[in-house]
Amino acid sequence: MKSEKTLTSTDSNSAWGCRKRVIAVTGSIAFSLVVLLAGYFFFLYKDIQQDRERCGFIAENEAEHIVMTIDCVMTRTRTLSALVQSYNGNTDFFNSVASMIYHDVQRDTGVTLKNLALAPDGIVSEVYPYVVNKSLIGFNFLDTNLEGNQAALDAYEQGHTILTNPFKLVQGGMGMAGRAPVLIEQMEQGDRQKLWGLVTVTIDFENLIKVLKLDNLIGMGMDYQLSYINQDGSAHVMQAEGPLRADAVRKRFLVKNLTWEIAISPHNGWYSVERCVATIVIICVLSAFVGGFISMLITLHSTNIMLRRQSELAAAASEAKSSFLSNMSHEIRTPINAVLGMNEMIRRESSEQDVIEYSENIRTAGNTLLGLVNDILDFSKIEAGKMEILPVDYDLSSLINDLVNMIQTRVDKKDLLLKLDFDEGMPKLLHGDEVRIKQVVTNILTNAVKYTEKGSVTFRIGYERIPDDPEGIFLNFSVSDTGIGIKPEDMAKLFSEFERIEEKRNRNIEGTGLGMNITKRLLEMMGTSLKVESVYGEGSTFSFRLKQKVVKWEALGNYEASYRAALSKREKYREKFTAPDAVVLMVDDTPMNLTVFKSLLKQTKVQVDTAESGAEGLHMMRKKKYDIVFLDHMMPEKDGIETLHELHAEESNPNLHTPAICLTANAISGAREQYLSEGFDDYLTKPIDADRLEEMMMQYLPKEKLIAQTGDANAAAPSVELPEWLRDIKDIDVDSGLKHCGGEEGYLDMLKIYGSDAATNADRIEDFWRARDLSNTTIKVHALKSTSRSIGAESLGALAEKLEFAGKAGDEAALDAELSGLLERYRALGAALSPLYAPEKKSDEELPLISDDELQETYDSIRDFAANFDSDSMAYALEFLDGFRIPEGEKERVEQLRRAIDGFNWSRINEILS
Amino acid sequence: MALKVLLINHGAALMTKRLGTLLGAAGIELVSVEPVLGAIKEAEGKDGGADVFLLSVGDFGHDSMDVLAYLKEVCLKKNKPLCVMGYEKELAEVEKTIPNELIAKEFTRPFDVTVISETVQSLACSGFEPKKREENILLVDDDITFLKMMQSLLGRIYHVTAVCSGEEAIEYIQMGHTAELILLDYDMPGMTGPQVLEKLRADSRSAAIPVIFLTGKNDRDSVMSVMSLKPEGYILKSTSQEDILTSVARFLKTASALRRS
Repeated sequence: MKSEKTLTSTDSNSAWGCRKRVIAVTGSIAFSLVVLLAGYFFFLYKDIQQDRERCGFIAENEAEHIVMTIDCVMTRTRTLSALVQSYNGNTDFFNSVASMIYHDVQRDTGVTLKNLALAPDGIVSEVYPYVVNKSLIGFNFLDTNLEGNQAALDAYEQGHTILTNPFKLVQGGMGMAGRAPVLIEQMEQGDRQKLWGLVTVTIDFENLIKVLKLDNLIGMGMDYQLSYINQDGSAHVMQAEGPLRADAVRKRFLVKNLTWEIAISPHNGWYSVERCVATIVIICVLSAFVGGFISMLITLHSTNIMLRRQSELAAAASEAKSSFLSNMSHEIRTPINAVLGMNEMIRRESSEQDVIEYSENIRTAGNTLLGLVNDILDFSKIEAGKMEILPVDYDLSSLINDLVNMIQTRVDKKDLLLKLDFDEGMPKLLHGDEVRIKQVVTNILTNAVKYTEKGSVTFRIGYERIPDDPEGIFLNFSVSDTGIGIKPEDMAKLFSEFERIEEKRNRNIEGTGLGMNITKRLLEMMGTSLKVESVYGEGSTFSFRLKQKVVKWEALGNYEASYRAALSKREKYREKFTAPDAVVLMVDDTPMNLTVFKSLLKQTKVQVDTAESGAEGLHMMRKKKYDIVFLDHMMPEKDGIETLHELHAEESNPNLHTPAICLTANAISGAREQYLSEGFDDYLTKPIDADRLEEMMMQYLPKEKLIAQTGDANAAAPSVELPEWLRDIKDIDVDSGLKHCGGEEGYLDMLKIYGSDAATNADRIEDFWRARDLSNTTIKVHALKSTSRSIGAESLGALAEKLEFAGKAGDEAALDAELSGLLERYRALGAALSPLYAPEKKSDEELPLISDDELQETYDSIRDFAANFDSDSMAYALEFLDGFRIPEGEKERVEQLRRAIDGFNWSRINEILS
Repeated sequence: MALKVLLINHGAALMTKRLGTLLGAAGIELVSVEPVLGAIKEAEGKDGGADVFLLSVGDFGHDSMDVLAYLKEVCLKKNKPLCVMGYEKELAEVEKTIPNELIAKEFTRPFDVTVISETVQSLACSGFEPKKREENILLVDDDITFLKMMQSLLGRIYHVTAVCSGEEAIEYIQMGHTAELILLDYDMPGMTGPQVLEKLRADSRSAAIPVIFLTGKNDRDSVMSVMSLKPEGYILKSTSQEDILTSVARFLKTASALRRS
């Protein structure tokens, strides 16, 4: 059983579970938010990256375009250089070629050249187109003073074409130039090449830009910047459109010797903020949903687990409850049975009145205890929801029998009248839960008797047919009493679990208060309810109407008659019997039950063998033939029924045909038939009713082994030493007195003391009563009751008891009337017993006289003895004095002394002697 | 070798005889002698002398000085215990002659012969196992008849002290006596049983003595109220004598077992 797990998860559902749920929901939302946002940003980033890449491509494209364009121009320009080299410095070709180049470039690239020029030794000698550029003639490119000549100088120095970044043209506008050095062969001074001069070209920069159609970028939504990069790394913007973003895509590229950079960025930015925000909002909402969904799943899952665990625990708890209840039931009832059983033995075996009295008390208390325990167990069962209504077929007359038998004894004890009224035509074979019906009616009946001091209790059962149900009837149960009744305002309390009505008034009536509650609930479980009518002070009627199914329409008949007949028949079986030659076997797994069983049969002298298990029982049955076999039904491993079956299966077993009786703790109706069908001859319910057991023995033992017994075997042996005349004394029952005093000698002692005290004691009681000292009189009369009883003066004792109660109740009149009568009898009895105690009057003539001195010393010693309450020494002192003749003057004192000593009157002794 | 106690006293025949009986029951011989030096010497001379000297002081006067001197000498020489019994004043006189250290025990009036006898026994038997003291049962009941019945019944086996009132019972304890068992009547005039029990429990000397209530009532309420005071038990007065004896014996056995443990 998974009882290890605790139930805390269920009962802390509220607090902890709430927190968990909040955490789960928040967590899920946060989780999905994070996930979605992360995804979004990731894709956004990729988007941007792609955009940038695109920009990069565009930039590269543009750059290529620029380079190509410029390259094209420069390539054309080289024609000039080549021609100069070919013509070895002759420049006649210039105009036509320059014109051709100018138009070719224009045609091919769309670029407008500002000029083309030849500058042998750096000085411009020819220029095309001539008109606008004629100012250029004679310009010295190698003049180091002119800043703009750096490129030319570089070209000269480095021996290859150098481009310039765009600069302001003298003619206006921006242009960029290329200076190309030309080398020609020198015929004269060896084979060395000589630098002839420069070929330059100037491009209209603005035109170039236009041609480059950089503005297309604008159309694409891009802002751009075209810049050249200086030697120190700084950038100079040549052409730009729109506000370039700081994170623009930049591409640097080489144009010959120039480092240019083109930077592009989307005019509207890499991403739109509104779109972003909108998307994020959507994401939030979405993630809320997703989060909620996820958390719901989580919660469902964990709730599932928890619920499953709870249901397991609940099932386990329910199981535990059931098995606890049934265990408890068994555990508690077993020792109670033992107590009742053993007590039964004491009751039977004892011959002492007192012991029997005590035993009766134990029986009553024990049965009450059993009743209380059963009540509590039933209540627990009902509370735990384990009480079931189990309908079976039953005989109504047997139910009535049990109830009437049970209540009859109680009714008799309280001197009430039991009236029975059962409808003769009522069908008696019915189908219902007989056990519970009996329990309910028993409770109602016992309550009726409990709360009724005088008058009667009427038990009625009637029936009605049900119009549309041919198989069913209504049984009307009612119990009326002439008891103390119930006040209207107390009706509600009637059914509450532990409250009892008028607690103070009813405190002497025993009970737990559970009975009514159990009754009410059982009736509810059977589909009906308890009705109460009552007149306070006059009586009550408890009734209920129960629907039952009819098994057979056989009428009840006249109950009273058959009941009385059965009663008398049963009484005949009260004979005792012994069967010393009989031998029976009892099989039960509980040793206590075996002991009880043996004790119950002890007086019958039947030999009892015992076995603690079915297997052991079988083993013993194989070896010895028994007269009867008793088998406990519920035993571990092999129960009673199995054992019986195995027995009957063994052909060679000597006990094959031995009567077998089943012992069962569960009293279910219909049981007899069940056990008979299993092969038993009969069954007994536990706790074992001693009478039933004996009946069964008498029924099933072989007749020849039964020896019937009549009368009491313990006849009192006639006393040996008691004087005959004692028996003549009317007021004494010698046998009773003997029993009390445990023997002749003790009895005589007691009689002596009782008789010798009678006169003085009676005087004392009379003195108290004359002084109307009620309490002291009562105390003394009470004492007289005890002492009288102990010597067998029963009726005297009874009278004393009556007067004791009268005294306690303050009934002076009764005492006035009867006390003197009591005392007279008392004195008479004392006198009658006088032969036992009257001292022989010894004359003291022969005795030595005790001197006054000696007497004084004796008095001293006696005073000492008295001071120490030393009775023994006192008795010794009296004996001592007996050996002397007392001087006349002291005789009176000594006599008084004797009386005081006799009466344990220690204080008086001192007075007498002073 | 029989133990001998020499009692030096004058008169008090009853006391002497009683002591003699008590000691005799313990197997000790009591020899009584007049307080005359010669007689004492003679008695001492016989059978190896006394094992314990018991001096009962009266108004000897000054002629007893030699007696006292002799006693002092003998006790010192033979190392025998000396007990003295008498009135306070008389005892003071004795102490003038015999130093306190020599006197084993002093008894003052009123004499408790039982105590004297036991003390002498233990002094005489020092080194031996003293005879087991008989169990003393204190009976308290206002009904004289019952008291007598009980004393006669129990007195056969135990030592019984019977008093007929609660006050006397308390006095008994206050005097220094003790008992192994107290049988206490429940209903008494004057100091009732419960009141006596209360007082007994309050006094440390008697708090540990088991008390059994005697009652004539056996209905549930009365028994419950009796038992609620937590006595060691109760006995119904209507019980048979045999059963009373059995109950008492059982209680005493349990009590002594408890004491030993």
